[in-house]
Amino acid sequence: MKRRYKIYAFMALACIAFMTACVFLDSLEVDQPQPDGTMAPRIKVGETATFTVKGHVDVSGDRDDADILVFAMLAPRNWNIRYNVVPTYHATESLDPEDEQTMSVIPDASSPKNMPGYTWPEALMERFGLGPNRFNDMEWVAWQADVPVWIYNGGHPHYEITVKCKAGMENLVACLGFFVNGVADGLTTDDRYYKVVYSDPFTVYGGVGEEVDYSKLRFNTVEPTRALQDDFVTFTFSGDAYENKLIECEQIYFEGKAYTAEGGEYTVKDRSDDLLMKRENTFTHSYSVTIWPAGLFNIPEGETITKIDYVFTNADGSIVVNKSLDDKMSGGTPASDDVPFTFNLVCGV
Amino acid sequence: MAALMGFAATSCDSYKDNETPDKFVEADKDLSGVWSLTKVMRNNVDITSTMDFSKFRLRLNPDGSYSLENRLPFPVRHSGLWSVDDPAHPFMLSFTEDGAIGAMEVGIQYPIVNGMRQLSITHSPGCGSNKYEYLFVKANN
Repeated sequence: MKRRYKIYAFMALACIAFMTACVFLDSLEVDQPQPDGTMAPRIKVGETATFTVKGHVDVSGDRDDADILVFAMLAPRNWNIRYNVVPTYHATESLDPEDEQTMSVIPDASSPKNMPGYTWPEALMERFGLGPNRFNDMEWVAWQADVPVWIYNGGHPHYEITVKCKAGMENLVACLGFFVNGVADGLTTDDRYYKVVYSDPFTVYGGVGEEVDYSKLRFNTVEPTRALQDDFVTFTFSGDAYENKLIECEQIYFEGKAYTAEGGEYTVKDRSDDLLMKRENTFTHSYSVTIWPAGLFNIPEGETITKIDYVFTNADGSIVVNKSLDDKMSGGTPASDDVPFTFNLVCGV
Repeated sequence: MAALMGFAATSCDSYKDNETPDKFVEADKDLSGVWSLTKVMRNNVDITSTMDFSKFRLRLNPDGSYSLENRLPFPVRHSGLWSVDDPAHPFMLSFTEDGAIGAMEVGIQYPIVNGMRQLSITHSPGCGSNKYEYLFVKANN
């Protein structure tokens, strides 16, 4: 192998006395071309965004071995980045800078060297959590370079990682996370050898339904985030998100109204056990109910639910937690006091 | 070796049963019966305790017909005929709804837990990205 094709380094290295390779993340670009010709951190649902991470590495000391670049990203779960993202990179001083290098998802059987027993996504979530986001419906996914590279003293290579990322079908605002490290370092606690940065709020628009702001706590969550009427859907009331009177109530119920593509509207608001929300534990005021929408709303054969409006309420219906309250408590100014939460039943692409 | 075989033959003689090894055939897995849900997994998370799954019944009758009671999301909606691809080693359970042209096939497993046969069906009745495992046990009714 010709020496010029050996890589010096562009990643974090284990800090062993006189060997160092400090990683720097110099810039992050998440702006996308807009219809009006400007650039902005926003994209339409289902379209492919391009993110660029640039940085360099300073290698000093007596290192002379191979290493593998690790790149990871934090994104909303509904983007499904494990399958919808293929990062590539170029590097100077090492591999031919003109060549586009490929990366692959790190198998779950591989743990970071310094966090044994964890998968990379688990380790990143444990170490960095959601970053500036607060809505826990995001995931870390890590990739590693397909080609190991050679590291040795004196290198100051620059790297540029390009991420082609298909946005999900849900309207949202989230801060995306980007992480650079190396297999040899394996997520040490010394941040000279890895870097993590978060974008400013990135918006996905143009989909159906309400916009979910991942930087805010919310009263409501739905799992799975994509579902149809023959899924089992869990609605959760997170009573600790903001101050509210509902958590003082003995019993909390789910009330909903299903709308079908055929024009049908079906309401459930009785106080049956099917609608009673169970408290998940005694430490938090988190209550949930799981429903089979087609069954619960008694949808006739041949009709298909497209959305469910819902609220959380007490036994006599005098106290209600809905989207209006959620918006108000998180700093918004809702148009009225009686806007329900909405769940759109779509699978997306 | 011959001595060992002789010893083995002798020592086994008093326990000899009526079935000789070369006549042995594996018994068919009898999946007929009334099945109820004992566990439901959604995307590998156990959701059994989150709602009442106990009333659902899958009746696989010995005559080849089946019916569903207290319906839940399932690969088929109406009654009809059921069959397996291989009686001794079934991997697929087929349901043909009454009046339907084609059969709906689902992959199955049938582990024995605590001496009881269970039946596991994995399917995606809603979005394809959501996978459900239904684990059935034989019910008394």
